[in-house]
Amino acid sequence: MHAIPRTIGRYVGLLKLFAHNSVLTNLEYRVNFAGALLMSLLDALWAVGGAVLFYSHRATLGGWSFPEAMIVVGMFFIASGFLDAFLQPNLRDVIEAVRTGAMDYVLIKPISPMFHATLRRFRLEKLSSLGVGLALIGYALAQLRLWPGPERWIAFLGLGLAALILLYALMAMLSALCFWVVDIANIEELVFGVLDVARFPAQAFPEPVRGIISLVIPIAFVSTVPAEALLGRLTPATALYGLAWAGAALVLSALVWRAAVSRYTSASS
Amino acid sequence: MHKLTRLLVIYPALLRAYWERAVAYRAVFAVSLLNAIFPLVMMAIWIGMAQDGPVAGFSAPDFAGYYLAAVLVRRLTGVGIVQDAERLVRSGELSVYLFRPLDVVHHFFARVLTGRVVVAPMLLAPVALAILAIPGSQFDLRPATLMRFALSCGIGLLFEFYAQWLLSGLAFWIVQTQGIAAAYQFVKAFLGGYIVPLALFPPAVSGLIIWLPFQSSVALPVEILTGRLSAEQSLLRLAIGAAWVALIALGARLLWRAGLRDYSAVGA
Repeated sequence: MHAIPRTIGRYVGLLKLFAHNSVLTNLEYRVNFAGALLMSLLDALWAVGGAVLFYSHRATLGGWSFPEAMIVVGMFFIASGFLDAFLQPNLRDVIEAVRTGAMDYVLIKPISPMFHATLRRFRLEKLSSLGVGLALIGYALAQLRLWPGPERWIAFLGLGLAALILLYALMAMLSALCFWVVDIANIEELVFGVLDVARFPAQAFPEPVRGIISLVIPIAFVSTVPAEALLGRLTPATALYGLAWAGAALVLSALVWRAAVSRYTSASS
Repeated sequence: MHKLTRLLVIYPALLRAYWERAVAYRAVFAVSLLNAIFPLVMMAIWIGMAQDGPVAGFSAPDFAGYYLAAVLVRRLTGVGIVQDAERLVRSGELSVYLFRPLDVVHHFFARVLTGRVVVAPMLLAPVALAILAIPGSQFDLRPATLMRFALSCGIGLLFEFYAQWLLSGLAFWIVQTQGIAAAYQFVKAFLGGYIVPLALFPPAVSGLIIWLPFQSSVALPVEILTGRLSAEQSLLRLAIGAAWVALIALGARLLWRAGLRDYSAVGA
């Protein structure tokens, strides 16, 4: 019965090791931190500037006031920082490893190949977007003179986590795709492009789009739904729907990875 | 004059070589079309707003027409050479080009021109379909307008090319050229009319923006094509664009010349 805690302990230990190695590598390139921070700030100017222009013509957008919409923008930056820092570097590595045959070395290791291939590396400097996101949410709460109660914070954190899990599962599935189609070098642009929809509240979009991003492709769960949780506008049904999506996507991504690995023909075979 | 005739002889061969290269990398081009999504996100929101009345004179079909034209024009005038040019300088690969009798700028320009020809047809069909599907969004297709449109696209392309050539020239001295180029892309996209039509900025601001070089990258061709500019207005703004192109091209040339002097001094 000790097997499961031991396995979890081993994987947590490995995560610590991966993180340690990444931090060491990142510190070699300290100048990048300044560059990444500048990029995040410019990106924030884009998003906030776009919103300012929208609100210069209308008082509310789909029922969201400007400060309320800034919570959505902030949540978008947290999600895209997570994507940049953790998911994107590993996606590149997987594509490269499958193409060159270096995936062999991952598969002979006695751990889950999906775990190793998707979480091995992260780029500390990209976490600057996270700071920008938190700052935007802080600004919004100060403007609204709002300090949400603990149950709203719990809902916000839970759904925010579900959003990140959803993104992780999506990127893991995409990276598995390269076992079938080797030449998908810039598939990440697809994810970044689609994620752009999460920059603004889902209700600001006109009808067919709004329905699609709230129900079919769950982009609304990345930013709009956690923001609604913080503002106390969320129905339990939507919250459960979001959590179910995240769980289902995670399970599905594990299945896809299993199928992908069994299909892999190494460089030598 | 002799130099010019030589270029005229060389260019067909150069274009053919880079054309074959562009065709070989079609898939990459197809994916880069997805870059087009962010303006469409903005379009969707403006259209949502325009449901309860026009926004600063733009109705919902106007927004659709503007952004679809913007996506098309972006493919015609957009350039991405900084990464490759910078690598050439940093890795020393540039030396190979310096042996050749033709200035390295022509290799990049030929590549950019052929890239256009591959990409444009991929977009023409979907954009034409979308325009037919959206009632009320009409383009001004009179010959005189189309000629101004073609001219503005040419100026836009030259602006983008020389601005990036100028930025890549910085690679002779500094390492973080990529960061500067990315910052430039952000500013240009916002002030160039790709993200938001310039007319939707506060009037005082949009009056200033049209005097900046960025307006010729997307805003000017789109505004001409969607019939938002009178002949005089478009001529004024074409002149502004052309003046900036001349200035930037001159700057780029001087920068590269100085850079190459330093470069060979290192002993490459």
